[in-house]
Amino acid sequence: MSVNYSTLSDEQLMEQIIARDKLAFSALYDRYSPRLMSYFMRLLWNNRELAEDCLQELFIKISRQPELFDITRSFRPWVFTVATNICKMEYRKTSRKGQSVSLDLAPELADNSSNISERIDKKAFSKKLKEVLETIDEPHKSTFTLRYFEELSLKEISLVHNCSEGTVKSRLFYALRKIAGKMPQFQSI
Amino acid sequence: MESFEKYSQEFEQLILNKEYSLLNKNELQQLDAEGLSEEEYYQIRETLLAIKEMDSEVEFPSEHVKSKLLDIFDEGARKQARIIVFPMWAKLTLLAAASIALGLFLFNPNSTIYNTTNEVASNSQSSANEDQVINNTSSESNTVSTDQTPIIDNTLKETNQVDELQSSDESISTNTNSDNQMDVSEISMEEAPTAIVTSNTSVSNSQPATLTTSSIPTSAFKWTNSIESEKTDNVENNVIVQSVSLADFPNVINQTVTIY
Repeated sequence: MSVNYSTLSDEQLMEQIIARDKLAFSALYDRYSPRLMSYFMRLLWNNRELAEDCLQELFIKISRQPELFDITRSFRPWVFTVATNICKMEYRKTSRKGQSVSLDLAPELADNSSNISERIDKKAFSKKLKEVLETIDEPHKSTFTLRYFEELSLKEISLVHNCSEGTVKSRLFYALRKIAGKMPQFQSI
Repeated sequence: MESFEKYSQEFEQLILNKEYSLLNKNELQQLDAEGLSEEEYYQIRETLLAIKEMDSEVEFPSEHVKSKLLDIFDEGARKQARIIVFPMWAKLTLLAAASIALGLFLFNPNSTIYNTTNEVASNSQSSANEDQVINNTSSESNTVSTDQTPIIDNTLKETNQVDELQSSDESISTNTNSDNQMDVSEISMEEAPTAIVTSNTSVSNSQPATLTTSSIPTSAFKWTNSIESEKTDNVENNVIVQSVSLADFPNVINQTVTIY
C-alpha cells in the first residue's frame, strides 16, 4: 500500500522518518528545504554556501537522531529552533574569527536616500531590507524573519526562542521600528 | 514597553488598518507611551505594508545537497538495522539471570568448598589417633626413662659434657642421627674428643675410657619384653634412653661398649 506523503502532516512524516522511511525524509526535505534555505540565507549574510552547509547540517541531525523530536509537539517551531541554534553557532564562529557580522549598505541604495517619493521598487526594497536586517542583532532579526518571512505565529516564535510571547512582541516592535528608521527612501510620504 | 507588549498583537492590525488621524484617545495614549510620533507611525506602517506586499523570495538549495542527505539517511538506516536493539524487559531478564547464576556460583550449598564438616571430622579423627599414639609412646617412654633413671643420673653426674649416649652394638644402636651414628670399632681412642666413663670409673675429657657392661650394675636395668628395640628422647636430660630386647641381652652383655 503506497503512502501519499504530500498529504501527511509534518509530525506524521517525522514518525515515518523515525521508522527509517527514506521517502518520508525526502518529502520532508522537499517541503522545508526552500524555507529553511531562505531562512539561513537571511540570517547568515546571504551567504549561499554557508546556508547550504547549515541546511545540510540540520537535515543530517534529523536523519541521524529523528527521535529527538517529540512527535506530540509541533514540528515547525522545533525545526526553526534547530535552525536558529545552528545560526547562533555560526555567529559564535564568526565572532571568534573577528569578522564583522554586519554588512555595509549598498552604494546604489544609499545614494537614493533623498528621493523619498520614488515608487517603491519591490526588488530594491527586498534587497535593502536584507541589508538592514544584517544591522540588527540576532534575536530581533530572527524574530522578525520568523514572523514576516516564515509567517510563524507569535506562540511558535516564543517556542523557537524559548521566551514569552510578550518578549516576542517587544522584539518585533523594536525590529520594525529600527528597520523603518533605516529605510526612509522607501516611505511614500 | 510593558503596555506595548500587552497591545502588540493589536498594534500590527492597528497600524495596518488605521490612519494616524483615525486613532482614538486610548490608542494615541498607547503610542505616546512608546514614544511613537506620527511620522514614525507612518514610517513603520509603510515598511510593514511593503514587507507584506513583498514577494517572498524563496531560495532553493542545490540538488547535490538532497542526494547527499539521502545517502546519509540510507547509511544511518543500514547501521540501525545492524544494531540489535534489546527491549527493556529483555535487558532486565538477562540481568536477573546473570545475578542468579553469579549467586549460585558464589553461594552454592552443594559446592565442595562447603564440605568442611567431613574434612574437619576426618582431621579430628586423625588428631585423636595421633594423640593416642603420642600418649602410648609417652607412657612407654616414661616407663623406660623411669626404669633407667639411675643410670642416666649417674651419667649426668659423672659427665656434664655428655651430648649423646651411643652404643656400638648393632642390635642396640638405634640412634637415628646418622651424623652421630658410627661404628665404635672404627674409632680410635686418640680420635675421641672426650671420654665418658660411667659407673665407678673416673671421668676424663682427654682420654677415652672403656666401659664394659659387667661394670654396670644389673640392678640399674629393668628390661622390658618388647621385641623391637625402641628409642625415646628425653628432651629434658638431652640423653637418649634405650631399651634392649631381652632376647638380645646375652649378646649385648658380652660386648664391650665404648661410650663417648
